Amino acid sequence: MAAAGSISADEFRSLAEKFADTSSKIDDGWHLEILASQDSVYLWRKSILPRSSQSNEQQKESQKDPGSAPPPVPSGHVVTPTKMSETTEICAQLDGQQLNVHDWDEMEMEEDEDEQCMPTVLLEREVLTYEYHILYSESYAVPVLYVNIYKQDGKLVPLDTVWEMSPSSFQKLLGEDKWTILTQQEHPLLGRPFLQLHPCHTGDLMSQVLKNSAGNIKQNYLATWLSTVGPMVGLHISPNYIT
Amino acid sequence: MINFRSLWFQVNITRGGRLTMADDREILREIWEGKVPVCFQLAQEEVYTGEQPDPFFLLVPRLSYFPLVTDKVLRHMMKHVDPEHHGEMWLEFDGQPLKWHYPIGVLFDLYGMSTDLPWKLTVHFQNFPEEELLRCSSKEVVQSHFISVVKEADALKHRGQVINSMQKKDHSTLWAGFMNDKFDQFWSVNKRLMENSGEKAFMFVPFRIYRADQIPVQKLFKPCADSGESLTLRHLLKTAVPELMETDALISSRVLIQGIEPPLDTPVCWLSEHLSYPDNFLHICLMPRVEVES
Repeated sequence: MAAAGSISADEFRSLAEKFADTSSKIDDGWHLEILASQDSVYLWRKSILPRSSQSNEQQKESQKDPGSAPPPVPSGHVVTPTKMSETTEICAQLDGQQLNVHDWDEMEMEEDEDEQCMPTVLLEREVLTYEYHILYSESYAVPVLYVNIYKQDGKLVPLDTVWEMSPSSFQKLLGEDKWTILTQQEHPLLGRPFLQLHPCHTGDLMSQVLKNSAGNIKQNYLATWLSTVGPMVGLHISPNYIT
Repeated sequence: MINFRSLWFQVNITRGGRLTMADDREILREIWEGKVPVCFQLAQEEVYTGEQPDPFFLLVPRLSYFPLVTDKVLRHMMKHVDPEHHGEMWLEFDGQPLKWHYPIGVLFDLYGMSTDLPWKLTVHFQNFPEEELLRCSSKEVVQSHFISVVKEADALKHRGQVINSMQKKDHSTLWAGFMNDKFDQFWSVNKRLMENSGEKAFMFVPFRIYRADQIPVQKLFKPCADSGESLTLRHLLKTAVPELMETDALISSRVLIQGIEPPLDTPVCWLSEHLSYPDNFLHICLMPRVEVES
């Protein structure tokens, strides 16, 4: 009876349990939270990532002129994404930019010879804490992604900035429809403000994906969906989730 | 509110619950025109000019949202706060920050029902409680919130087929009608969202249940049993807040929709069609009865 691209609450629960199992195997920090009182489950993860190296102004500038070279990264040693570990690649994709050495330090990456000549002046780089929640919406019969991004002082990064931080591949979409794609909403289980990726198109999106894919796609529903929409808010999913 | 209540009973009792179109419209009108008298006062500790500004009085529509009706309050109070240290305006009642994204009528039923009128609210420009309240930097934020709730309601009622078949201009008409208090304009679009017959019969009834200090409850609820029997408000409460029905808690609770206490035997479909807010949700408040009668 469920429309194409949607899943039932029971399906979500079992997918979420499997997702948390995989996460504990690869140790990437997703947890399953069970709220008995509300008869609900959700997945959550906290990630600490460096803030985009671009200032908002620079980013706006580069959007105006997509043909031009990317704005220069701050002075210091520059590493290319190929040298980075998986976590750093996530950040590199988030930024759409190269990262400087300082970012490694903030994230406690494994040792590298470059680290020793890291200039201390860059230590002031801002680090952001991303809190992701994946809930099930009964109304839309799809999973919904919520995120809050905190600055080091514990304050929330405002919605405008989150729109601007989104990778360039999402900017066109956000430019036209940002108010119907990513806005602040009340978290339905916790009652606190969270940014929400609107669920109203998830069913359509997933029915397209399911149609065009062979194999165990329903089993990979969460990973497939998250790898499609997650990058908008800096979330990247390990290939280990695809079975 | 009182007028409406007597009207409802009159219609329901004298005609055995059968309503004509004209009655329907009268009820919708009555709901549309519901207002709450509010007295806005600047928080004492935020008065910068040395002199407490006069309170500001407004009669605000129950169906609206505070950011849509408080422009004048903002301008009046702004003159008296520290120009260097102020942020977004937010409202508080008796220590409780008010969530602007709930309709005013819901906030009033939850927090203001047992106080003297006008409802006295405190205006703040500092220490925005960002762990409790959504930010609201412009009316676009309210519009986006409103449309997203309407979409969710239609996802529940018609699998989203009505709202998705509308054009952007229909959404704009709906919003403009609501924001500018144009009943006919609003209903020219809303009647399609409220269609409830044949293929367009409501699949689920969009509702939320509020209690002070609790997270709102929202569940899937079909308006009719498999036998075809119309389900009532009592059935809905049994499904959504079973703990309320198990004890005698219900006897000590008031069930408020749009400021009135509908009989628990009222069909949920009727309530949804007539007492929903413009966002197409039936917002139900549960209040302890004791306080009110003391």
